[in-house]
This record gives sequence, C-alpha cells and structure tokens, in this order.
Amino acid sequence: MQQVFATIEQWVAANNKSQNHSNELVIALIWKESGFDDATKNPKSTATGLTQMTIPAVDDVNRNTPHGVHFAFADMLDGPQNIQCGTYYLDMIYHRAGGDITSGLNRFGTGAGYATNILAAEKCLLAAKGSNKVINPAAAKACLFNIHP
Amino acid sequence: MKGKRAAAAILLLSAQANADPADWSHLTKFAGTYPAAGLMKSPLIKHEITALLTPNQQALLSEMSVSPPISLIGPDLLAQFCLPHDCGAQSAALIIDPAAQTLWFGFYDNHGQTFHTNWSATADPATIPSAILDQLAKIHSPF
Repeated sequence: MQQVFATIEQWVAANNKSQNHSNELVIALIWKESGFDDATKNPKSTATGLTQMTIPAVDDVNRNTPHGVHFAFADMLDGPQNIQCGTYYLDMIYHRAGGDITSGLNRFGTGAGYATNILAAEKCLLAAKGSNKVINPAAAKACLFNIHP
Repeated sequence: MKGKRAAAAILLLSAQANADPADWSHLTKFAGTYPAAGLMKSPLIKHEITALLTPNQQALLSEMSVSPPISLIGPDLLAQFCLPHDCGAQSAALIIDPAAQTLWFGFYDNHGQTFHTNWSATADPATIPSAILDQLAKIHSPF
C-alpha cells in the first residue's frame, strides 16, 4: 500500500543495514523505485516492493549475509524487511564496485546516470534535516520531486 | 457420457462468446489483483485501450510495468502503472466505473516544478469521482 514520507523515514531509520549508504540516500532510492508503495511489483523482472528487489538479488543477499540472516522472496512485500534486504544488497554491490557509491548505485539501477539524481536528492534531504534530526515533509517533497527523468 | 460433456463444454464456450460485451460488472473481480495478472488481459479493456490511446501512449503504457494491486474505491476501480526506476516521477492511472461503463486513462508527469496529466477517456475527466482524485493526489504526493 501507499506509504507516507514519515512512515518511510521511520522504517528506513530502523532497518537500514548499510554501512555505506545514508538513510537519506535510501529514502531517495525508494522514491525512485516504488514511489513509496510497498506492494508494487514488476512482473517483467520480478522486482518487488519498496526497493524493487528481484529474485536473483534476494538470492544473492541470502548467499552473502551473515549466518542467521535470511529473506524469503515473499518478505519483499513487507516494507521493513524489504529495506533490510535492499540495503544489504546495496552494500554488497558497493563493495563489488570497488567502494564507489556512484558505480554501486548505477549497478543497482539502470546503469550510468541512475545514481545522479539520487545523490542530489540525498544531499538535499541531509540539508533539510532539522535540529531534531527529522526532515520536514514539505522539504522532503521539494528534494524528491527533483528526481525525474 | 463423453458426448454429453463435450456438448456441455460447447454450450459453456458458446455462452461465454455470446456474453453481453456491454457488461462491465465482471471487472470488479479484478480488485485486489495486479493489473498485468488479469485486468489488462481482459478483451474488453484491451479493446478500450486500443480505441482510446495513441500508439505512442500504448507503447509508454507497456513500458510502465510496475504496479500495486488494483484498488476498489467506492464502486470504481483504480489501476496504477509506473516506469521501472522512475516510479515517483512518471505514472499512469486507469480508472473504471463499471456501472457507467466509463473509463479514464491519465498519464502523469512530474518535472519538479511543473506537473502534467494527459487524460484520454470515454467521459469528461471533470467527472472523475472526487474520491479517486483524492487518492491520486495522495499517490502523487505522499508527504
């Protein structure tokens, strides 16, 4: 179902497993991938949920995460679990890209150029954070509406 | 026995083939399902889309392969579609009023400062139910 920004912000804060990608970057990626709807599916690719994880990507995460961490593909329709799995995956491809954030993100998405507006939105969201560490929804909207083709 | 079964099957197929093409009430069974799983395969919807959308719009729609399940809002169906990897910025909405046999198709584009929705419909877009428009506003801007 369609989630509001405040819910996505809370879920990401509680479930971002990446050591290398900020919560703000993950929020921007989720907006680009699913428009904040945790029930989205792409039958052409099997991409599912907030971060649009595919069956091969989930399998990859399961092969490379610490002992005891395992995701069923059906879990990808659960927002918090999708964020956990997606952010594990982001870290994996970041390391495979030689520790380069841009290259890793491009591999996650559609190749060269995919990362550009996500990184710009991350910077915008970080700047919009108030002293209470919360992003005003109106400011978030202005940042994320700049993610467009 | 086999002959009776075959005759029954032929009667059933014949009944389906002769079903009232103007009857849209069966479309509500697609509520809660993904558009690609059934609704978009329906001969009725395929026919309407071909009649309503330009070839370019049909091509764009086929690229919009990301969807949530179809919603039932009051008596109306709302199916959504968006582009893979650009879901927040470009999307389409198919609204169906089965009772009135009316269909609206809108292509939405968010360019940051400017917004466009290009409607193609069998009725004036000004008559889209307000509950559907409220839902679309929440989808386009969940902040």
